[in-house]
Amino acid sequence: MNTGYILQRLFSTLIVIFGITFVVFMIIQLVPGDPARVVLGVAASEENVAALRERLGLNRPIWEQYGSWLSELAQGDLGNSLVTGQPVLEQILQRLPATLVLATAGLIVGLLIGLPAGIMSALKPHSPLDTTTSILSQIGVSIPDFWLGILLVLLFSLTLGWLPSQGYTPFSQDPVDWFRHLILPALTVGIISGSIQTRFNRSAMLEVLHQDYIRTARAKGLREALVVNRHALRNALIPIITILGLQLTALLSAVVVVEVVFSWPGLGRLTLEAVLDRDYPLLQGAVFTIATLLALVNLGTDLLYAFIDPRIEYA
Amino acid sequence: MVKKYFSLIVVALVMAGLVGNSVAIPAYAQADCDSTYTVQADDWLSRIADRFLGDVLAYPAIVDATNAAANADESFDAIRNADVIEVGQVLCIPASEAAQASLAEIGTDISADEAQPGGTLKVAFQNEWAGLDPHTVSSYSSYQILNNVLEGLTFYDNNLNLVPWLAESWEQSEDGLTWTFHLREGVMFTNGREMTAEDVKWSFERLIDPATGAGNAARVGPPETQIEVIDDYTVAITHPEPFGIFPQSIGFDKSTGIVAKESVNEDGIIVEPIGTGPFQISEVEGTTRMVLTKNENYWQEGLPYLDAIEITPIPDDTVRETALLSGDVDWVLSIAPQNYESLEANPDVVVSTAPQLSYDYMGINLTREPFTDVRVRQAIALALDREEIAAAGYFGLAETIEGPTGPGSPWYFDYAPYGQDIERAKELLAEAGYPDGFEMELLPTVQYGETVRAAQVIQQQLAAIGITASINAPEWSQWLELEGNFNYDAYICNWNGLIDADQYYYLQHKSDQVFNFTGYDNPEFDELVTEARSTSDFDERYQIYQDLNQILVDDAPYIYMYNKLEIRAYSPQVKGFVTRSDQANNFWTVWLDQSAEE
Amino acid sequence: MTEHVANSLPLQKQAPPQAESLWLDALRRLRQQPLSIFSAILVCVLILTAIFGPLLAPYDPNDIDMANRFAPPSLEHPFGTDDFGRDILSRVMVGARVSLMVGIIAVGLSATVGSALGLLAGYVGRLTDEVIMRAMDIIFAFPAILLAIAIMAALGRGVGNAMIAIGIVYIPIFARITRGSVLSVREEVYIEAARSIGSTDGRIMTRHILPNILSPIIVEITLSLSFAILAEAALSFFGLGTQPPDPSWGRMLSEGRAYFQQSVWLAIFPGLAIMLTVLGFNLLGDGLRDALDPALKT
Repeated sequence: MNTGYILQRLFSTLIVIFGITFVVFMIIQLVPGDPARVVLGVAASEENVAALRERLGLNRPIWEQYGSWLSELAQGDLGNSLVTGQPVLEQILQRLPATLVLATAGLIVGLLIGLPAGIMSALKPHSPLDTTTSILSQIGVSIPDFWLGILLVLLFSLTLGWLPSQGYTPFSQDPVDWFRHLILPALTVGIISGSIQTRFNRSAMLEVLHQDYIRTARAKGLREALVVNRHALRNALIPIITILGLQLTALLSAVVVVEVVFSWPGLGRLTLEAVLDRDYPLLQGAVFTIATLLALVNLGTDLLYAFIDPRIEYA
Repeated sequence: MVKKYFSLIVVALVMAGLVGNSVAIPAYAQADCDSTYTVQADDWLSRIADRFLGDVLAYPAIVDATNAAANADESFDAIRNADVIEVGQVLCIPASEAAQASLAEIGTDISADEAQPGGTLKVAFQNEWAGLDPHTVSSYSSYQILNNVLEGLTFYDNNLNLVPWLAESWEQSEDGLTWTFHLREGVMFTNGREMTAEDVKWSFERLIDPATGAGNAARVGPPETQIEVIDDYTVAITHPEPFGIFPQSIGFDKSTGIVAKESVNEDGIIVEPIGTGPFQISEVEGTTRMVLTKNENYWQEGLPYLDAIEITPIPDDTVRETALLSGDVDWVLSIAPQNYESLEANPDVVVSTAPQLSYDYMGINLTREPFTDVRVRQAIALALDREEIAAAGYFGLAETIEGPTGPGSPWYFDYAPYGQDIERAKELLAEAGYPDGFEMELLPTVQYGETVRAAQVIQQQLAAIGITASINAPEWSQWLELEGNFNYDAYICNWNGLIDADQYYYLQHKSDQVFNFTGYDNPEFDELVTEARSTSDFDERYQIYQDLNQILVDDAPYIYMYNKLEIRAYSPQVKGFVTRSDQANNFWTVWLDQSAEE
Repeated sequence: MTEHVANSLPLQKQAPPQAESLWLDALRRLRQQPLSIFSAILVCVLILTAIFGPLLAPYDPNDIDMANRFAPPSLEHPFGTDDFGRDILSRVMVGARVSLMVGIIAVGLSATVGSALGLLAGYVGRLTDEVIMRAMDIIFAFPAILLAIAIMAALGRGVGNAMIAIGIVYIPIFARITRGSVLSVREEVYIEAARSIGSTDGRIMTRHILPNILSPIIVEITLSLSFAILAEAALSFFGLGTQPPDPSWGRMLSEGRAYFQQSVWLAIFPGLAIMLTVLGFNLLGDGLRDALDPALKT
């Protein structure tokens, strides 16, 4: 892996982030409605709305608004929420930890399910274990995420009374309570994520196991464990990591829905609220933040990818 | 004096909380009436109790006696909800001694002394608050929080009587233009500064300043209203026209609450208002969690009982109810009406109701053909089976109405010309030139699920008179835009938290008002509704509103459907909470019964 | 050119078989797997329901009967009735159309556009690759459901816009998967062989690369069908899908959720319908995947 490649990927990630600002800004321009009206409410007079439009700079050409949003963004200023009046950045930073925690926990649960299940079923294709795993993973993929969340609440909170049904306790306040609140949302995200991973990991492993060099290795009489560990796993890692990268956006989608179901005070729920409230600056800021985070994760995935398989180079 | 007055209220609250609203009907009790009384319009139980038993707090005795009588005698109807008695209902009034005995029985374990101070109440609201600046928000979810933080000069008590609050008294000038308020002395803002007339002036002026853009500015008056500080504890408000119901107008919600000007930050925005209320805002995490803590300097001694209130919004009904059942929260703002029965049957939950001061209705666009024709609007009104709509919309936890006010309101008028009549409706349509009906769009909003459910039933009912309706159910912000720009045929929504008659007629229907979203314009109505505003005498006003009601119902810019029950649910540990018809949640008399724990 | 044919013959052994025989073989192997047969039947039933559902439904799916609301499953109403007394079986049957249509058209859009872009990016490389993949990265940087909601907010609600929104959201997945697979086969000997015998780029992409990377695309199509149907349910969950009273599984599920505690069948049957549909496509896709995998041969 060479520094040229890294620099190039960094550069293109910057371009992606720039593209994100453009897409976010444009989508929000397309959303019908008047931010000034949102601030003042239905009862406000036309004059007041017009005055606020002027003050918010909404009468300027779009590119000019985009430019000023960008330059403020560069200074770390995402503007103020139309609804609460609080700085958008403050609101986002407040919500970010909850989302990161849920996404990470969901990913860990997903990995704990997906890696062993995927690899083991690929090693013994069409065995009873494989069939069971495949049916379970397919059910997991097929369950609507909010439905799964509600089912888990019904079982673990309402019927068994083991776990809290919703909400969030900051870790600093009470780590045990924090963990108890995390379990159900993380399980919901994790089961869905794990099921997807299982399917992909199985495919990836199978693909590798059928490659010629594996057959050669086996033909050489290498022990099966060695074949799997040294040859198959290492080569399967490439698609598995790709899937993990791909998985993160899907994971965050599930996180958005699950945050709503469990009243989890994360960025996803904040974004949905912003969409429904037409809180344009908040929506812009939140979507930008999430997308940028994902772009950075994708950068990490690509770098890892190149690290594991040095054959892949960047022209 | 103040203290005594207040401890009376506390007792009333505690009792009302215990008697609750679902009254047990003992099968064994014998009817033992000293006299009977037929309920009149404008009556409520504690008032009747005061008249016959000399004690406003004796109403549970009447409930008990009437329910016992209903068991034995069909001429009585049982009172299932102490907050709902109907005009014409016959009550059994027990003898005074019997009432005392009955009260002693009910009240053995309740007294204000028993209230246990301390603890944190965990509550779940439904919607996220939309800003906390009382002057710029228009969202009711924000006011439901501010009720515990800010206070006004006047206040509606739990029986919806206007009572002195931050002002001890007030009077109107001879010419009717000026109201003078005498403030309570020694009331402290939560930052330790005393509240004076200057603060009243500042708060009201910020509210009516057009630059603030407050939707509720009219509560205080037009921008020309003069607010004058006479001395530290006296303030005079002079309107360009007589404003007869000014003391009522500033008692409705906390847009007219008194705010310390220190609340305004360097951007000219109020993020966390500082008030004189029983609680202060101490932690705000975006719109996901808020903590209110006890105001140690509160002017009502001994109150509030709670140390803190932790507020979380949970928009999802199922999740909110689950949180209550599993004990994650102690109190929820609302439950889904379909779960009313099962929650009521649950011994671990107290479900409490009060008829809302609200109505659900269909607003017709009077600026669009064919709805410009009053016969078309009346035909629609006649096509509806309101029982079925209420059943679909709110699971029957509602009274059907054909005018704005429900039977529970002192402003109820018995004028109901729109019982379902398909034949008459078809005739009217034919007369208007639409014998084969027409196509139209219904505009409910997903913000209020009941409107979307009602729309589906209305759709089927309209089909019976040849009108083909489609449904468009957008989210709230888009809905407001369509409604505000007259971009609809008929929308479905509700009005909430209306106490005075003025609120049922003025803002929505006077031709020059911003909340008039139907384009209704009737000069006769405008004149009368303005006159009613400048009148203070109840009987005089009652007459005017009776006429207004008839004009409005006949003109049918709104087609009224039903009046919902307000529902609160909480753990049995929560004491002293009263579900109010105006949907305010006042937590300063609430306490937690820790003895029930473990 | 002919003289090279002989040279390339040994290499062709390593190359995959021609597309026709590949698919025939796949079909033959598919028939040998009971799960695949089951899933094929399932999918057929679903497609037939989607086409003929309105004709076969025992009741008018929108007919309100308030006297008969929340009726539990019975002979008269096998799936029970909903909060308006409407027959849930009829609504599920008619709802199949919306869910399948949204899924198939949305995935059709993303698979066609995405695979084409991925093929181009992976095969041509350099600047083309850079431009396409950066554009994909930008779209991909948004969590699917949020981007779909944002697009719906801009386009307006409705089934057609839901298809477009969901379709756009999943384009990058196809582009990435296709590109990744192209990269892994681009340097394979048989491609170089094809290039060395002077095949055009277009021919190499469609005749040599595409058949070899079909299996991940097909796996992705089946998965995406489930994502799309689930995304439609989620959009309905947030109130952006079809308008009432017309039934879609997603909206039935999100409405039925409110009555989950008392009348569980309101949310169970549409939920099951979604699960079975998705399951059907997934099993079929898995079967196809195994059947199509050239490496499994011999």
